Amino acid sequence: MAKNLINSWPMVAGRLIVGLPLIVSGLIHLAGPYFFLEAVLQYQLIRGLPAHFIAMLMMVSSVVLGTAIVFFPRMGPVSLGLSAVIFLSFVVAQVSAVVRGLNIACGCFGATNHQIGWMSIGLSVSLCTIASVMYWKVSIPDQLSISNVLTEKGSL
Amino acid sequence: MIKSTAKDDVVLRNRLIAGIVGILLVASLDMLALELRAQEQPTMVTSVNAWDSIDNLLTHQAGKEFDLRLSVVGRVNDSQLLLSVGPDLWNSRIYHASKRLDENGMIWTSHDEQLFGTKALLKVSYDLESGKPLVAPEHNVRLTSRPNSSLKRFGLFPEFYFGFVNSGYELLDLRSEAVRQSFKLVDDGSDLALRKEDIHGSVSLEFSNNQGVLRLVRIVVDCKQSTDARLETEWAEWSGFELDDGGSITGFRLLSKAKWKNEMISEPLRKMLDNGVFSSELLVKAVSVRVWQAEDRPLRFKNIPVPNGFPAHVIGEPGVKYEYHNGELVLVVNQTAEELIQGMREVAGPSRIADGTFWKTEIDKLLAASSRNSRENPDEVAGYCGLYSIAAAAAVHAKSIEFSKLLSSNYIQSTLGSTAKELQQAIDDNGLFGQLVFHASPVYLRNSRSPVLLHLGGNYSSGGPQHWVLYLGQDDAGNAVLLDTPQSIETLPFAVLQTHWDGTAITISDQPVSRVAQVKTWLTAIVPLVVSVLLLAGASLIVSRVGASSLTSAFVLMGIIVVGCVIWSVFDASAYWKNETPVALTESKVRREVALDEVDDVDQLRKEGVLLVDARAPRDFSMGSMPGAVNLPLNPTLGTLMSVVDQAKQAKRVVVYCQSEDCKWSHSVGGKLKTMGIENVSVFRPGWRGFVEQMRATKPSSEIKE
Repeated sequence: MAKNLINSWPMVAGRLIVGLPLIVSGLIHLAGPYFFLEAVLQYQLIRGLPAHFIAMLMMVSSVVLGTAIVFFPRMGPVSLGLSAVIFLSFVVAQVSAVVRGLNIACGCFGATNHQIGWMSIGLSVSLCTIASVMYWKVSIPDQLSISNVLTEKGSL
Repeated sequence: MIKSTAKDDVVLRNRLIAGIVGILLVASLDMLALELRAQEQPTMVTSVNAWDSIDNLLTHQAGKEFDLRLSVVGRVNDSQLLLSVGPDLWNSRIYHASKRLDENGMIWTSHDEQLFGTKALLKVSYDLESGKPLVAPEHNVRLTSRPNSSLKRFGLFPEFYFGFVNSGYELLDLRSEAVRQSFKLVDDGSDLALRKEDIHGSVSLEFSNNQGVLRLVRIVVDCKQSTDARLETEWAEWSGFELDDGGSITGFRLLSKAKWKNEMISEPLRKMLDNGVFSSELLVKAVSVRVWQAEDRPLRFKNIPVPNGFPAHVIGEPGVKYEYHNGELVLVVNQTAEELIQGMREVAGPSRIADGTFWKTEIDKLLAASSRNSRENPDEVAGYCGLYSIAAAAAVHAKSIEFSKLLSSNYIQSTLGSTAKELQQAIDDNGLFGQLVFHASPVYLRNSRSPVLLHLGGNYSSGGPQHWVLYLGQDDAGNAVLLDTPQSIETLPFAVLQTHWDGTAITISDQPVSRVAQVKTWLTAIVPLVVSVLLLAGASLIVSRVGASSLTSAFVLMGIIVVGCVIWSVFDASAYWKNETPVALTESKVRREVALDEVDDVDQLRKEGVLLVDARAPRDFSMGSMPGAVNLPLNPTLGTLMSVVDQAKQAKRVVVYCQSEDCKWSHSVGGKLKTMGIENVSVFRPGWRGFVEQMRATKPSSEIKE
């Protein structure tokens, strides 16, 4: 059921909505990794090696997850779940920055002047919501439900 | 366990087809995003570009206060200058006064709205004899002037005119070539002595007649012309006047005639001048003393008639010259730019741009050509950087672009300089072909066979400079070769370039960009996507054959991400772990507040292994600095920054100073160095002014005279 569902037209549209921004953003960041590192540092949440690691992870995972969501439905459910986590982290970071009064670029799509604000937060929330709903629709309870996991492990 | 079936294979095949369609969708979306970004270039508060807009400008702003600033930007015909009205291209400071043209060349109006970044064009005729600009009949604008404003003859030497052209007073040398050649250097000032520690007060300019010898003394020292002091002391602009070996004027600035003589020479300095107390040490850096003599007619050249049509030599604005026709001064743009283009044409060929050996032998020549376009303060011409780069790129293609054509409001409409769209328009309108690309990577540059304009910018909050440089190729070591007009040619690692280059690139070629090249551009951009697709295809195939739970798929996906990170770290030259300096440079852009030790005692600066870093503007630095200091201004070129960082790494201690105790630039520059990994960074709190005072205190005047 899940396989058919993820290839339905609404789901395909949702996959494009969630996956394409990830791909575009990841490619842009990989083309200019130092601007992305600067964007990560601007949030003043981490710095040093952890910041380097997170920046690298975000760039690569954006491309990989976006690719998986758009082109590889077999990986789709899981990638949707991971994408939802990434978008959620964006939301948390941006809200944190707004609360702390930081006037910085969101770092969403390379070296642009897109300042963080409720628009960028809203965009991240929307993408997070779409990814979560799709993940929930496709995977739970069929794929990653506790019962299913336990069944595959032979406990039940 | 789920087994693979023929149906699964069909589904997989369909998905691969869908993948290809998806790639096209991604490309389309990216193009759309790039196009949207193209619309985001710097905007102006008010834009007035049309010739007839000056009327609207004044009419619609009636009742409000704003200033209009007059700048010469081109020539209309033999009797008319093309002027820009409004804050000039590199200075948006606002002045307030009534509507008149004052001694400083400012046009004052009765309106009260500030027009930042506005540039309107206006045709104005100059009457050289009366020194007044005439009313522009096409427009309802009257430029009033006072006797001392605009162009006027220089008091002692009537062949010299000075007036407000462009952004300040400039001297126009209207002497004939024969007269200029009649000068010879009779004294280089080496017999004079001036001790640096005795100087304080203002900058001085002295003209005197010493038994038929024209003595031009240019004394350029620190004092009140510093950047921070300039804001509070109106008359403290520096002045200078020099003639070169041919008798041509090579430098001139004059702020106020009324205050020109005695007021601008401090009493202690005057005493030293009177007593002839100079030191040759100071002459090297801070003082330029030249004594010139007209061979056979000292001080009599004031009556030499100026023939029509010979060029006037003007100091200050690159790419312009003036000609004198029938009592009117005519501005001709392009002189210096032609020299630049000619110089570059000599060293560059159309097919040699990517030839690394080219730079080995010719770089100095090219640098010399480009430096002729340098102004005294390179920061002031930042707005022209894109246009200069286009002229340079044209020279590389053995094409000549008349620089005056580039000085058009079509190509530069803001104090911030030209936008990408404006530059591309300038390229296309002048017989070249520009390909605008966003989010390009070093791979794109390495593959380019033509010069590429690169935009150096910053994230929203980094506040970095907005600047265009020209990528000219790579050297043998694989570093990017950049022409950073109007300053210098620099070679930088690509990773360092990436810390400031935002990925905006305009390839300037002499032939249309082929479809193949465009496709190649796209292919280089999506390499990570292709790698990702391949990895996922392999993983998906395995999963479909073997079958796996979602949990396993999650681990596979994360494994692919890890593999992707490893691939990026190993194969991408920009990987963080390979580039310590660019990473530090990036971190320094973010961390602004860094605690620094402060020192007050000048003796601590004299210890071995101390590197002194002067954080003042290059112009101030050139007028005088602490012994052995290197200059690192707030917004240095990348090459300058990397050079100072390299020196700082070798030093035991780095001490940064700027003008005075109130100046905070030393903390900014020191903080930047510290975040770039330089450990022992301190700030010399008293600054240059304090240094001079401490030196004076430790050297009594009696000792100085000895």
